[in-house]
Amino acid sequence: MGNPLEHFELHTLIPLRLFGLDISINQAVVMMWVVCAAVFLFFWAATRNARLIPTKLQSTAELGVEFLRGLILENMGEKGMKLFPFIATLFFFILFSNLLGLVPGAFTVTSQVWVNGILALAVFALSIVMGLVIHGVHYFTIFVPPGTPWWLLPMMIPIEVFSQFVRPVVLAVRLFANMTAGHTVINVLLGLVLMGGLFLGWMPLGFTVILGGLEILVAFIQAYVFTVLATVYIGDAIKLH
Amino acid sequence: MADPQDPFRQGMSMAARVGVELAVTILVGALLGYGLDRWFSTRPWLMLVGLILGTATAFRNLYRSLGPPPDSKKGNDGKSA
Repeated sequence: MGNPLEHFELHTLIPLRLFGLDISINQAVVMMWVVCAAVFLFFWAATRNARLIPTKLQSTAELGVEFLRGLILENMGEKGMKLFPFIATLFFFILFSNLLGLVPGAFTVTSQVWVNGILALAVFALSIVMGLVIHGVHYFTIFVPPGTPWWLLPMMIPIEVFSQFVRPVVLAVRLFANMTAGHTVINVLLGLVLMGGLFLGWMPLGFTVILGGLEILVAFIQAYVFTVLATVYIGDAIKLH
Repeated sequence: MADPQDPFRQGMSMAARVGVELAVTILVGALLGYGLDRWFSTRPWLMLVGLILGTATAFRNLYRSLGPPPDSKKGNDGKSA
């Protein structure tokens, strides 16, 4: 019945090389363009003829922006508002990538580890940069939790350092695992539908529908969790505790 | 999509985070230890160190992600952010 992981394989559409680096256009790249276009169109349509009493589309966009603003103010304080474009891009890119990946035949951009890895790396780099810019060398006291007795420090500091470095990895892998697992399970169930034929095929099909709904929920939740954690990590560096 | 402090949303976000965090932190610790092992040819000790470090970090992050206790004053009571 075919390999359920087959649709995660990338096929090059237009091979391109730049100074020996492989930057060919494959499905993932095309899908990323589609996602960017979708986000752009969404906001363009929502803010065109903006009225004081908003239309439904404008309302949705306003809800998203309000929510992000509250999140940033709460976790990163006033200084954090400088990073609003970054956080908003993060949230809407991940959300639209997750959702558009559910369209049959589309490729899920966020099911590629390295896509999520780069996003998480950006968050990590930003947290370090913001911490160093705002606090200078004092930033390294983030590795020492307040109230730790001195004799615990040799054990606590390696754990804290490791913890800081592992957090972006976990951020990336969480999104990757959720997206990949969800789609793989749906693929496997669809394989079962084909094997079951007419008599038994309706059962797995029902499950597939239910799982599709769950996947939509997971798409929202994972985008939300990624963004919340991004604000928390950067906020940790800004507030230094 | 409103108030980020809404308990349902906090519950959902915690559910989506904790499982994967636990597993991945331990895994990354072990993998890091294994990688360093191959570089320094000190099998298997560094991998064990990595495993222990990863596990300790995993549980510490879990503890930290619970947040401050219900009615504590803000300040040093051992539960850092």
